[in-house]
Amino acid sequence: MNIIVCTKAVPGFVNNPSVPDTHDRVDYEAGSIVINESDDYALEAGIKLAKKSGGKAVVLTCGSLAVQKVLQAGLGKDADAALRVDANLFEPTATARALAAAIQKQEYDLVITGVESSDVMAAQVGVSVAEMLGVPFAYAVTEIEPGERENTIRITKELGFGKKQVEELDLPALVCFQTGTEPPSFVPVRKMMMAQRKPIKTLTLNELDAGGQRLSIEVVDIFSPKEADTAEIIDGDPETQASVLMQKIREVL
Amino acid sequence: MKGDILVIAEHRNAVLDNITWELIGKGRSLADQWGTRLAVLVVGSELDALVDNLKSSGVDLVIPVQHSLLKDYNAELYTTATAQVCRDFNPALVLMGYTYLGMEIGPAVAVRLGGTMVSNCCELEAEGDHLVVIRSVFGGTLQVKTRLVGAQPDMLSIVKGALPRDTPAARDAVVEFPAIDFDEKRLRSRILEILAIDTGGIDITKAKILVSAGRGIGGPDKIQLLRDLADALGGELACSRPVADMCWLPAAHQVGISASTVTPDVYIACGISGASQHIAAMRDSGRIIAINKDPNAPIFRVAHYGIVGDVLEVIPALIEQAKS
Repeated sequence: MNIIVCTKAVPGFVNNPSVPDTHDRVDYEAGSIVINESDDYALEAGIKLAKKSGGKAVVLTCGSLAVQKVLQAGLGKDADAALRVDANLFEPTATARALAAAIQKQEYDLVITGVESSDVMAAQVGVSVAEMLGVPFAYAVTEIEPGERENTIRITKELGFGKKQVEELDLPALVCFQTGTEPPSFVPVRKMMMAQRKPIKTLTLNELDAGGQRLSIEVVDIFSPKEADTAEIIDGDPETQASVLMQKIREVL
Repeated sequence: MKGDILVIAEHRNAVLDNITWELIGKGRSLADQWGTRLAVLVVGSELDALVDNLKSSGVDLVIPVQHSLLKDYNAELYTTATAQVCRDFNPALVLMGYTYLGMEIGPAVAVRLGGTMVSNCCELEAEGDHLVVIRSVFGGTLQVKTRLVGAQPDMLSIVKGALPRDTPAARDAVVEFPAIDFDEKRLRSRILEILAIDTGGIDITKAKILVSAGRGIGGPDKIQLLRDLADALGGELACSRPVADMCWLPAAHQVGISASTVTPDVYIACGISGASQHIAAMRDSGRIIAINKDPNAPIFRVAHYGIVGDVLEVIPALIEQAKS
């Protein structure tokens, strides 16, 4: 089974966010760049399944040169190849179009993404890519294995409210992987250094015929959320705080 | 951009989820502002009671998609049904929950219709010719105001509990059953089994007091401290998703839209930053107490009482107080 894993580099923390006059993104200083959490789980599951089924795993991302680190992490975890779409996109649909166009140029049976990125928090890209590729999809997947029938996979996904559902999907398919089941492994420094020497293929939006998209959302403003009008902050030393809190708790019990 | 509005209803065990009422309330006020119609789409296999309920909910039109194939939730069929109803009814705006349903089928329907989807919204208003929404970014520490300027329909998924639950005056709603052709042979996904998460006899939804652990407590060795507090207060232990993911506590303790929704009298969030999926499942608790080092943590926006500080300093003091 040939598997493409879509990953995103996200900022560990953010300083001085602002909206440029073009209204097409949020600018900020990123404290550090890390792989998005659910994408890390997706990567782990994808590489494992590709190996188990005798196929290849390709790790894919969309972003500027600065985000290559996530691809190197993928190579360090033994992905067979890495691919970057060279574009800085904020709008989930635009990102999905770029990724779908890149995926269409590859041979694949399965695409795995994470459920949601920690920066834009849209939870939109994975399923959008599936629909653009015209393949069946499942969201919030926690387990994945080859199906009993040929050209299928068997997945377990969360339905919410403590329920899970087991489904069989025809291949090719796309699944959005949820955090949780198998903790992502750390890449040893030596392997990471070797991964940094491996080639990373780059595609531009022009090469993918995915450029020049009209903006469908405009970013107007970015701000810290309103101060809560409900929360009463209790100050003092821990003993004082505990005593006030206990009083508040006893009031309602 | 003014036009008809379609709400996608959510239900389980023949009961409509609260998000449906929240969406209908907002949809009604927008439709009144625009002078347009508000419809609600409900998908399932046995819908008679739900349709009766929705008829008097303040909508103009109820669109039930009823079929034996829709007994269990199949994302492929739901997408087909929703997209086709949207094509027939042609709404300018589609409202759904930022729930597992909205996350799974929303983007697929939006791509199929060529519409403009914005997810995870907590506020929406019509400003001039465009909809403007506010949504959380960067883990909820910041919010972005966004204007929708793309092709219609505009499709928004809204965080559960973010909108007030208005109850619009009932009106005489029309019920229209659309004819939808589900070609079973062309289905590319099949439901094999539905599983309930193993709770091991733990039911946190019945507890009056929950002491809830988040990643911010620092490590699995700190769980015992929280357990001591829960015991001293006569409550139960709960946790956020990362804590269950890292196996610091079994999944039966997890609070969130994927796991349990809880409404105890007292919810003590310890080192929980407050992802929207967590907040949506505990915000209706009687008293919410948040203890967190980060004063900007989103949990403080739903808490009644907050302590900005170290869980490890406050909890021992609290245990002493509870015992005295």
